[in-house]
Order: sequence, then structure tokens, then C-alpha cells
Amino acid sequence: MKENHFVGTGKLLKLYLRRDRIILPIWILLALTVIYGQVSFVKAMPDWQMFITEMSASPLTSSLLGPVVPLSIEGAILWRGILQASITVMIGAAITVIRHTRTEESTGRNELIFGRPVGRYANLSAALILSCGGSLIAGLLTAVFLMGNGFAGSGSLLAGLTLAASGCIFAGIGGLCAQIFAHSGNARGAVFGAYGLTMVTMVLNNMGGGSTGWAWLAPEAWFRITVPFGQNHAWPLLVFIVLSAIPMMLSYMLLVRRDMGAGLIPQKEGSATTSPRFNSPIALAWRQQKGRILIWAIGMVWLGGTMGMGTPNISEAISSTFAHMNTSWASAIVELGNQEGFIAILIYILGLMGGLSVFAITMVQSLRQEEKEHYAEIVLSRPVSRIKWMGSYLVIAFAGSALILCVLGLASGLGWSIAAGEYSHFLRVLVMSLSKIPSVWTIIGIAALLYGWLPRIASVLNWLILGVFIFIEMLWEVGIVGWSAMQWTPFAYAHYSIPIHELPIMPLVVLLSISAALTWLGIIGFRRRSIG
Amino acid sequence: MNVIETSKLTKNYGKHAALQGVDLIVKQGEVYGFIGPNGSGKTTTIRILLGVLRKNGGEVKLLGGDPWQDAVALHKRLIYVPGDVTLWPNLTGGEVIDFLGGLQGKINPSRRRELLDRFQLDPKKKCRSYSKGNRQKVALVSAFASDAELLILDEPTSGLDPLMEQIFQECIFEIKKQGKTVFLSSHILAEVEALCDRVGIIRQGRIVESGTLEELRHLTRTTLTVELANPINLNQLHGVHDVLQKEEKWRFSVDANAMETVMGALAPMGIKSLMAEPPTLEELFIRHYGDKIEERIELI
Repeated sequence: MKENHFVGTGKLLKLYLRRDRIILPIWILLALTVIYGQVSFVKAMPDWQMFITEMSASPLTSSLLGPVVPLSIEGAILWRGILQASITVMIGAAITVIRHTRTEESTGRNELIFGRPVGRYANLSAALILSCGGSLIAGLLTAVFLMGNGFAGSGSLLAGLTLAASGCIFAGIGGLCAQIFAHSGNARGAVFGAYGLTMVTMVLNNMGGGSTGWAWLAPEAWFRITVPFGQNHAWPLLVFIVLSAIPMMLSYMLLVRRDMGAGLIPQKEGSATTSPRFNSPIALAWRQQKGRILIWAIGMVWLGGTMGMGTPNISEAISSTFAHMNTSWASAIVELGNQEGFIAILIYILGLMGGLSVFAITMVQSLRQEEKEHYAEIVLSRPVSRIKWMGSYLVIAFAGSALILCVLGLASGLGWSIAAGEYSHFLRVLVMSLSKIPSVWTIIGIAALLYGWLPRIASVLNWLILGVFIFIEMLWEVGIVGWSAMQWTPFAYAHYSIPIHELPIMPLVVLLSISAALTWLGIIGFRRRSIG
Repeated sequence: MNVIETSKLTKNYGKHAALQGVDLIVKQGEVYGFIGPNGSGKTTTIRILLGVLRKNGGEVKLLGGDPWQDAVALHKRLIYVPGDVTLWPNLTGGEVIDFLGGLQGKINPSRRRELLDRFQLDPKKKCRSYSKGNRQKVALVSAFASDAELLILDEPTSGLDPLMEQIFQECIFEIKKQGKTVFLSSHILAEVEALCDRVGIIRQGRIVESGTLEELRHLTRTTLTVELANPINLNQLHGVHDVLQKEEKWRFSVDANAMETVMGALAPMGIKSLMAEPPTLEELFIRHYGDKIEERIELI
């Protein structure tokens, strides 16, 4: 009798829809929201034509974000809009697959389901359908929204479908990572790693003019292949579907070749005893977090190093009208020069806005994880004070973030210096990176405060606050809000637009004390509340 | 001296009152059995005793101190074994035992070896690959290897096999011999019956019964099986329940305070044989928990 391995997929899909009734709309709508944001930005600009001409001409922005294609208002919207929307769709789709496959498996909940008449492939299939469906909805909503704004139907649809395709391939990559790693945390980490790789190929593509073969390896740059509102190529969509199918097929193949609960990397026997120094909460915190810190450090060395090496390829020529643009952003770049501007922005994004602030928040949230898994209770039922327990994890977060920033500075500084044969850059880049420490620590402080007082919603609030900071940054860049608004974010005090030798020290000292105060308040909150 | 003392202890989760005035006294050197159905407040009580949860009202004293204020000092003197042991998936069992022992101070290597041997636990395996029973063994080895004067155990054997259950009981007897106190929350009534000096039954956040097993038994019915030469209508007798008849054999239960009258009525009827069974803890348990069961029996 032939077995149907897909039995139960529909029922599981219903369960997943029920479980994701909040998370799914969030990542779908987030994609739409950033597109909406870009549309409003570009439309609000007094002279968008000049803006995009300049953006397109500037070697710096071209290297980072690529040229604006086509050179029209639609192109200007997609230029950053697709990039941002694809982040949410790609990560959202991949994390959703892992959430319903590996997480379910490692917690053992899967066994409840597989004890029933449910096929071997049902769970992975339902998760992939959910993620691809979510991506498709995000894409179609985007298309409808663009049409609603009066843009051409074909271009809108193509833009939406290109966005959906980027989600589909990452759904596949999520499924693949879920097969390889026995631990959902590692699988998620691998997804972020894969995303980091696509960022590199994206930048390589942009450095090469925006239409090189690298674009195929960067789903966030796929709109440069389909060119919605421009040449409107629809055929690459078919290639995207095939590309997306590859990791999915691999996932199915691996799924039947491994045991339930196991990854592809076999479990090793560990040691029966520990060193006598492994006897404090801080030793435990280090033991739990060192892998994550190492991975971040390696990622930063790689990203910082390769981009640093690429820096000398950026032309220093600053176009004439760019110098006359009156946004503070443009004048900052004029002052810095294209190459140093590129490095400054790179360090700012990796070391603060997009990278280390995420690291900081996830590190502090691991406290909540330890608490939810009841590990905290086991330790706290021993003679360990709450200050010591929470403090240990925070010390590791503080030290770990400083370490990663140090490594980032070293790698990008060396990369640029070696490639340029000019070692005067090295120290400047290192200091740039280290100057982000107080801001990152402030984010750790905010996270600690939230964890101490509002453990249940701390995670959501944390990401929300970071989102607001990033939103302010974006508004500032296009000149909608001024510097005074930026100063409400910790980003402003080690901002890339301030040349590193002019960076005032005092605000950084103040930030450090704010971080200490927030952390202290957080610990007070934690001491006063119930665990669990 | 009382090792644990609570009075009118209350705890609310939002509107839900998990504890509605728990009064407990656990004396030094005794093994105290804490039994109750799921969701009756056993774990909540224990978590307050550990200073992990904040109480909403009432008094609680542990080893002479306040479990919330003096948590660290008190935890040097006690050991806790949770019911659902979750352990760091990336550490081995041996590492967890050493780590937890290290938090407390020193761990005696020969005692550790002996316990690993007795519980047949492989300390080289990562916790993520342990079964529930093995994770429990890790927590138990860690607990029994320590010198703490009070053990707080929350359903510590729910995943152990009968052989390991036996070893667990031996360990508790040894601990008791050393004059240490054990607070044992359990669902396994045979275990409570075997180990505990005194028992407290909690139900819906209140202690509904406490005392030695003897005292508790006194409150409930004894089951009698008699063979009588002459017919009798037992249903008319006060204090007799659950009557079953098979030819000359009768089986029924008798309230403790009605025993004398019942025996008086039986004596002239020509008793051929008589067997009396004390109520098992199971019956005590059901009597206190199962309203519905009891009502049904009464109706019959």
C-alpha cells in the first residue's frame, strides 16, 4: 500500500494559522508598512526628482543601496522600500517555518501530533505553505497598495510578486536550517547568517553597478532583475520559483533521512564533570552565551572585513549638486568623503542600528528565556541572589557587545587599510566602532529595565522601541525631522554623520551613566517581582 | 522547632485565588507528605516557600526566616527538586550536578559517585537527550549529594521506574536518619504512605486535612468483610455504607464512630469470619477530592 506522506497537512495548516493569528499579520503588515513609509517619504519630498538623481549619482549610496532603477518616482520608492520589505518577509517566512517545525520537534510537542494519523511531510508542508502564503499575501497587498497610489498595474504586480518570491526562498531556507540543526535557536541563527550572506552579495552587486550576476544570490535585490515599472521582466519570477524549490526539496530529502528530534550533526558525549570554576551564575551565563557571541564576532569580522576591503573601489568624486542638497545627511557625507562615509555608515549599521542593537536585545531576552524554561528557578533555589543571577547575564551582554564592536572595528579597519595600502585609516575605524559602545549599552539598559518590570511584554516593547529609533533615523535621513528628534535616540551620540575626531565625549559619558541607571532600575524591578 | 510554618497564606493570579489561606506546620526531622489534586496549589505553595513567588497575604516562615527576604541565606540550608525538571540542553548531567553543587559550596565526590551509581545515571549525556526520568535523576542526585538540612521535593518521582522509586525511598530514609527534614509533595500515595510521618491534604488552595496517617484514618471508614450465619439488614444501620452482599458474605464500610454499634449488631448474627481493612490513603484521597464520587456512593 502506498503511504500518503502528506496526510493531515490541511489540518496542521489550520492549527498553525490559529497559532500565528497575531504573528503572521504582523510580519505581513510590517512589509506593507515600510512600503507605505517609502511612498509617503518620496511623495512628501519637495523635489523627489533631484533627490533620486543625486542618490543615483552618488558613488556612496550606489555602493550601499545601488542605483535607483528605473529613475522615476516608482523606482525611488522601490529603491529602499523593497529592500526593507524583503527583510521582514524573508526573515518572517523563515522564522515561521522553523517555529512550526524544529521548535515543535525539540520541545516534543510534535510527538503529540505524529502519534495521530499524520503523514511524515505534513508538518513541513503546512509550515512551508503558511510561509509562502504569507509572503504571497504580503506581495499582493503591496501590489494593491501601489496600484491604489496610482502606479502602473503591471509594475505594481511585478514588484509585489518579486517581494513574495524573496519570502518563498527564505521559507525554503528556514525549512532547510530546521532540518540541519537540532536546536531551533541555532536554526534561527543560521537564517540570520544566510541573510547576512545575501546582504554581502547585494552590496557586491551594487558596487558592480546594480545589475551583475550577484543579484541572483540576493533575494532583496531581485527587483533589480525583474525591474518593475522599468523593463518589467516577468520571466525571472519562474527562475525564482525554481530557486525557492531547491531548499524546499532538500528539506524534504533530509527530513526522511534523519530521526525525529535529531539534526544532521550527531550528538556528542559530553564531559561527566566540570572544572571547579564552573560554579557561579556568571560562569553559566558565559557558557550559555559564548557561542552566540562567537558567531556574532565571526559574522562581524567577515562583513566588516569584506566591505572594508571593498571600500577603496568607491569613487571619492562628489557630484556637484550633491554638495548643494540641504539635508544634513548630504552635508555630512560631503564632509566625510565617500569612502570614509561608507565605512562610517557600515560601522553604524553593523555596530549599532541594525546589528549590535539586535544583539543587545536578544542577549537580555535570553534572561526571559531562562526564566520561562524554569532554569532560573533551579539556580535561584540555590544560594544565589537575584542581583547576581540577572547581573551575570547582563555583564556578559555588556562585555560581549564591547568585544564584538572591538572585533568589528579591527576587521573593517584592517580591511580598508590593507586594500588601500594606507594604514592611517585603521585607528580611526577602530575608534568609530568602539564609540558605539555607550549607545549599545544604553539599549541593553533599556532591555534590562523592561525585563525587570514588564517581563511578559518586554520582548515586544523592546523591538517596538528599537523600531521607533530606526524610524526616527529614517525620517531624519530624508529631512522630515531634524537633529533634535534624533537626539531622542541613543543612535545620535555615535552617529556616522559626526566625523569621528569631532565626536564629543561628554554625551557618551552621560549615556554610560544612563545605561547604568536603567540597568540598576531593571534589577530592582526583578528583585521585587515573582519569577515565572 | 518548626521548619516550615505558614498561616493564612494566600496567593492570587489575577482574579484566580490559587491559595486561599494555607496553614502548614512541618516539624524538624519529619517527613511531611503534601498531597492534593492537580491545580490545588501544591506547586504555588512550594514556590512561595522558595521565595520565587511573592505571597499576597498571610504569614510564612521557613527555617526561622522569611523566604522572600532571606532567600539566599535560606537556600544555603535547603535543596529543592522541581516536579518537571528542565535542564540546560547543552550541558551534560554531570556538569549540571557539579554546577548546582558548586553554587551551594563543595560537593563530596565519593557521595556523588555513589549516587550516580545507585540511580544508574550516565553523567556524560547532554541534558537534551535525557528522558524525563533521567532529568529527574539528575536533580535527585544533586539534591541527595548536598548537606542541606531541608529537602523540598515537588513530585520528585513522577517519572521514575519502580526500581528507582525504591532507591529514592531508601535515600529519603537515610536522610531522615540524619535528622533532616523532608517536605514531599507527591501524587504517588503508596510513596507517601511508606515515607511520611505526617500528611497534609490541600484542595482548592486550602489545607482540608492534616495529621499523621493514623489520625487521618480515624476520620474515615474501615472496610469490613464478614460472613454471617443469620440474615441481617445492614442498610438500616447508621454509619454503614457501600454495602455489597454475595450469599452469606457481606462487604461494607463503617464510619469510625459507628464501629461500636455496628459490631454490637453483628455479634449476635453468628459471625463465621471477619476481616477489617484500614482505609488506604487512596480512599482518604478520594474522600477529600472526589465530591462527585462520594455523592454517587451516597446515592447508592
